[in-house]
Amino acid sequence: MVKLIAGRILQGFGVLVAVSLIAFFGIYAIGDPTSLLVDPQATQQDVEQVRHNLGLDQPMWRQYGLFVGSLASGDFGRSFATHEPAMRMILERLPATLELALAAIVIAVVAGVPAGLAAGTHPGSRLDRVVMTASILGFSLPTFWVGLMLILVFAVNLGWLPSFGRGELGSWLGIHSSLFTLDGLRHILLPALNLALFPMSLVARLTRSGAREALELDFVRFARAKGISERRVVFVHILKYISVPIVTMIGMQLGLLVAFAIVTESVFSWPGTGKLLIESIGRLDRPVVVAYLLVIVSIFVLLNLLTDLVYLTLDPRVRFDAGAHAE
Amino acid sequence: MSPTVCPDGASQGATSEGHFAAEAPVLRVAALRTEFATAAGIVPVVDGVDFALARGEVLGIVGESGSGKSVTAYSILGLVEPPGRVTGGRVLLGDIDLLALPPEALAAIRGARVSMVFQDPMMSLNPVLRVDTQIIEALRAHGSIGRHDAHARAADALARVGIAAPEERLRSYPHELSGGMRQRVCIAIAMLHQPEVIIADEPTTALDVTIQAQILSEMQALCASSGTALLWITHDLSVVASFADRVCVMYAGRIVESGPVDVVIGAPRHPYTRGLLDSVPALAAGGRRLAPIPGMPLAPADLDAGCAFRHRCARASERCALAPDETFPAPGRTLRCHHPLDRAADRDS
Ligand SMILES: Nc1ncnc2c1ncn2[C@@H]1O[C@H](COP(=O)(O)OP(=O)(O)OP(=O)(O)O)[C@@H](O)[C@H]1O
Ligand code: SF4
Ligand SMILES: [Mg+2]
Repeated sequence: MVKLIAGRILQGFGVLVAVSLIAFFGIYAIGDPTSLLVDPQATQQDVEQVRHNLGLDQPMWRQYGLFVGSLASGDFGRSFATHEPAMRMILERLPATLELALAAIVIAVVAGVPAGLAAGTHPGSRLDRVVMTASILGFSLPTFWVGLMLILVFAVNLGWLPSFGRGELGSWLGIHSSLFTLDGLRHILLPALNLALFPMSLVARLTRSGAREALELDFVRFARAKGISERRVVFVHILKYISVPIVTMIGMQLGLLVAFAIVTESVFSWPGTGKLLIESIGRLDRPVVVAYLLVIVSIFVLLNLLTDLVYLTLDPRVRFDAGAHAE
Repeated sequence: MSPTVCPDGASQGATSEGHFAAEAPVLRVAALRTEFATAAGIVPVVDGVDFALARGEVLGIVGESGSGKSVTAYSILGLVEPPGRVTGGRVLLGDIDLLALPPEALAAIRGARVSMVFQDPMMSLNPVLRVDTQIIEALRAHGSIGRHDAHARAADALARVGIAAPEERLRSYPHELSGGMRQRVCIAIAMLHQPEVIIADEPTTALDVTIQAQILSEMQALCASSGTALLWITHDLSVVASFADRVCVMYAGRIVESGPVDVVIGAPRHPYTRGLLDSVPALAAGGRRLAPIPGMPLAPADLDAGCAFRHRCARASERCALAPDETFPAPGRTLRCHHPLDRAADRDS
């Protein structure tokens, strides 16, 4: 167990180094942000001054070295554009993204698991076909288009729900989130639904195929032969049996959702990190981009670890050789 | 030939057929038909199966792989999954037709009056649920019972099937138990409510021989003590010879020959039964060479109106292009063959 956690953390550390390098040199290769930052009328001397202040006149390797050096003291650098600490900018926006991703994954699970179970335990039925068709649409319709349609129908035509912003924030246990007020919930519903589309389809399909396979297994037949209720067969025997891959996938999806919230955040003007990232890339604001990537990768690593731990508690068969079982 | 390798001699005596002949059977299967929808169309996998089980009787069903033994067993308890479907016949438990029951009423019978044990003990327990969960849910399915009592009864059930340290085993997950122990757990679950019938679908096939014999005799003793009738499905004729009272020989979804076990094995009339016997070392009649049956059974989709065995049968004639009807050559005996063996022919063929 300890070995597993340590391995994961070490692995995550390697990924962080790689990502920071790629981001650093990638943006360096794209261009020099100074021209975007200074007044077009500025003299050559002013430009040089700005470059010097931002450290951009140093060779690339020096810049990276300085960046890593100040990381040790918890400094991720300041935004070229706003001169605010980059990490603070990310962390300020992160709760909005996390709450959106969380709401989306909850919707995906609450809708996807029952739909998948219903379809999987009634193979070939009309319900099965409906779920399959819906999931194909969920996979293939572009997120931004669905987002615009949601706005058009529920915000513009019906006027039921707001179409942008986080709404009123509530606080609970020191966390500020729109999940804690009714107004906030009304605001998050459409973007969360939009973001949930893909993982919901994925969860439904995975649950369906798992349930379908499980139906053929002897233990399901034996459970039925014992005379226990069909509800218990499906919700205890089958669901518990197929929960391992579902949980694994949810963990991976949550990380992806945080990263892919970018499109949804743009469509719904959701003030999260995705929107900040788009703006920062446009300004070649390297410190913010790098800080963003480091945060996202850390979230991925953490979620992976959490998934592994949940996985261990769900499947008794791997609990015993957890050390050997790295995946 | 009479039963010889019987583990504890219990197969004769109280459970023999004549004893209960007057009593109404506990389970009667009549004209059972189960079909599967396949790419090749709708194919019958069980086609007009009839048999009856008397109280406390052990009835063996023998046949090659794919002959429809498991599907017959599933059909009895409504456990056939799509694309399969029971399309005809009756399964009478007393005077209730199980095939006509609504799902809840059938669930009330499963595990309580008729229970089942499956072939592969590795797969018939849910790998992610503890043994106690899986026993106690079976108890709760047929009557409310407190936590404490349920636990005590579960431990007791394990002890009864010869599991040492039942308390400890209750807290185990299936993968922590050996195959034999898992099958004992399944048997304990099947016996929980002292059912009238247990359907055992090759419960010992996946186990090694010594454990096979142990479980066989234990189950037999348990059933004898509670008057439970046993439908024992196997492809191993020597197992049936050792402890069944009667036997049905199944081929391609039909029962081709049935009768008291010593009569059927001692003087088979159907060429397929003869073939089966000659392919079992312990049973081949004295002096006869071991001879596997040539060829393979047809897939259900390839069956036609003729006798399903005719392309493997040395006695086949033109008449066999039409399937033979069931005949009753002696009391308690059935046969489906146009050219049955008789005792004399059997000796010198
Ligand atoms: N799900 C299914 N779909 C299509 N055909 C099936 C299905 N299940 C069983 N069958 C058909 O039913 C026939 C009988 O199968 P069954 O499992 O009853 O055989 P069996 O006598 O129990 O064999 P074994 O000794 O291997 O257990 C097989 O030939 C198979 O073709
Ligand atoms: S009916 Fe004909 S083919 Fe079939 S078993 Fe009898 S003799 Fe052989
Ligand atoms: Mg079988």
